[in-house]
Amino acid sequence: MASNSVIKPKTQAGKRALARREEKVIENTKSCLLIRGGNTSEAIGSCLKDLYSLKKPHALMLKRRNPILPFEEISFVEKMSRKYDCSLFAFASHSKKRPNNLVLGRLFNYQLLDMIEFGVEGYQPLCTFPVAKVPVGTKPCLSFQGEEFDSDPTLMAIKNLLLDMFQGPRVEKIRLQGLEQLIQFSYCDGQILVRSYRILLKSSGSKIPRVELSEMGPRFGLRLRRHKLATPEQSKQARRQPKVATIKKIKNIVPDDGLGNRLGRVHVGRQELDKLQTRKVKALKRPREDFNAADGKKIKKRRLSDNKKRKNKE
Amino acid sequence: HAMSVLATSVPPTFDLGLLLINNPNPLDPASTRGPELEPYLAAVARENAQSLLSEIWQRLPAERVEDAVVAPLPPPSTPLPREKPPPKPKPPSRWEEFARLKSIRRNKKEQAVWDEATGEWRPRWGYGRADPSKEWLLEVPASADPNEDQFGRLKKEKKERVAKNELQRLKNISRNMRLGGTLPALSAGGGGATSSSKELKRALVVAKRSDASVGQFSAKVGGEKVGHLQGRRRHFLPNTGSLTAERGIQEQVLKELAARRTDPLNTERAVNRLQQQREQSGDAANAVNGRRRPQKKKTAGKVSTEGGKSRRQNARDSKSRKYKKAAASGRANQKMKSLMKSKTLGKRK
Repeated sequence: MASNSVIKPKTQAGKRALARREEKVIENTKSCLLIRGGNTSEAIGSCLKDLYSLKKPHALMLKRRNPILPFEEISFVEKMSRKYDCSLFAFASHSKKRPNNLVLGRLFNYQLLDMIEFGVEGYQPLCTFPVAKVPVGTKPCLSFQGEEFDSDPTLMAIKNLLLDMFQGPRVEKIRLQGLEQLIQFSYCDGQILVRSYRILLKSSGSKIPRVELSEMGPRFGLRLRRHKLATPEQSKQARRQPKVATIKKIKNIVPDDGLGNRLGRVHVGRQELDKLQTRKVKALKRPREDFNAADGKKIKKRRLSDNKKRKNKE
Repeated sequence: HAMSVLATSVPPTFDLGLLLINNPNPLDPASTRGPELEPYLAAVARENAQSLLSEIWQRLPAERVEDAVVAPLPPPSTPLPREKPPPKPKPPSRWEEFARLKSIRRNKKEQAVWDEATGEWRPRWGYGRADPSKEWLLEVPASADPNEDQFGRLKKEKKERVAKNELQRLKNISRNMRLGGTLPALSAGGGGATSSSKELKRALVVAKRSDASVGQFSAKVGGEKVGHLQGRRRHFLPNTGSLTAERGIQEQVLKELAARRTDPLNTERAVNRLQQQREQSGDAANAVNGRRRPQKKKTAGKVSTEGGKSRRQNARDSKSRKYKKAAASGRANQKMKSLMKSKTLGKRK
């Protein structure tokens, strides 16, 4: 909570910014940080820009070149993630040894969770496809083709990362006409082929429409290079969900018996009827010594006013 | 031909919360080569999309919201990691505790307040409120000093109230931290990962036992419980103590040394003697060859004719050289072994 911080925010905008960054039960959509390395080729630079277009508005492209090596020193990425509040990152670079290099990764609590390095092959930019693009912020349909995505542990981790990267905003309800994009990941000969299509719903005989696709771009293949995956403990910690307050069913109580009455059974326990207290009687409050055992008469309670009466008498 | 991918083999699984279809069938290798790749992939994608949309249309109940047909999405079944850890429950502040005990409930205040001075409704806060600090006229109360600055008094009181409130807020935060909460966020970008006390203790233990003496001589940190030193390598017996034990150990050392001398065939001596004989009886060439020359390992087995020596003689010489070398290395080995096995006052574990 903003009020829980030592330094209180002075403006409403500051207060809102802090509130956005704090830990929540239901989190914000993960933002992606796009970083250009020391050297980029035209292809990989364009690929990064297309990735930015796909991930808008939950993406941030850093303007400057950052000659860093994520697999050797990840602290820069962690620092930037903390600064801009982004949990995903994409790092593009180009060198002779690693041409058209793309590192996709994610962070948990601003610390590296896992990252995977790909070589981008057969890239065709978004602009080369003449099909109209989907509106910004569309939730895409995702398709994974290939048995390896369910069997090979590395590919399972890659699938999880790609899901996280491309799932789009989390929504409770989706407009059925708004299912406009399909991103297909197919495993073929050591490469993950990524294709993005525009969905066109045509009327068919039945209630379910007929699907037609037109390739929207971008088009590329990802060849796995290096990877740094999360340890089982890290992934377990990252997946820990908060206890969402659920309506606990209270035993013994019927909230509504159909007529608007709330019924329940009261368990009183064992009662000794002769020792029950029904109402308080002041007379019974007086101590027992007031009663003279001999004549059974009650001793009068002395009052200050009695002194006056006595004086008067005297 | 794309239909065969889905029709014959394993049916796809869905995760509608993520609009995901998992198709575990492999791609047809024949179709993925050459110019057929893209149309084939498009066909496969179309099949997948059709399956997914059919699933959505069938499984999810459609509702109508204004002029759009909408379906509620189920929560995703694929576990995805969170961005940040879930929030820790904040311990109640001192006022909250008090209010709970006394069952004081919050009264919702209305925005408009009747202002007597102007005779109109004023907002409680914000623009146009009746701010006491903006009063142009203040009555001097009967009990007050006539020379006292009333405006200044109000200002001072407000300052004090604000300061008190701030102090109590900070006290609450420090109380939360003491009771095991997390360090509050200092700023949007600042604050590092704070370790819990458990993690810090663990780190201390690991750091201490990472040196050769396994943390024996490291300074003890305040509040640290030093337990059994794990991984202690060398144990030394105390200098003072049982004399019989020490005597026993020394005797053992001597015994082992003496035992080594009981080897009847002293190979080293035998070889030396042989060599001397050879040198005395042999000619000049022999003497040259007989010199103990450090041999290369590669030429150990080779026989080279030097100075007109017979091959047989050379063979014998090389053998003797080998024998000498072995003897020398054997000696070295034995020396090493004896060094390693030698007893110090302490036992080696």
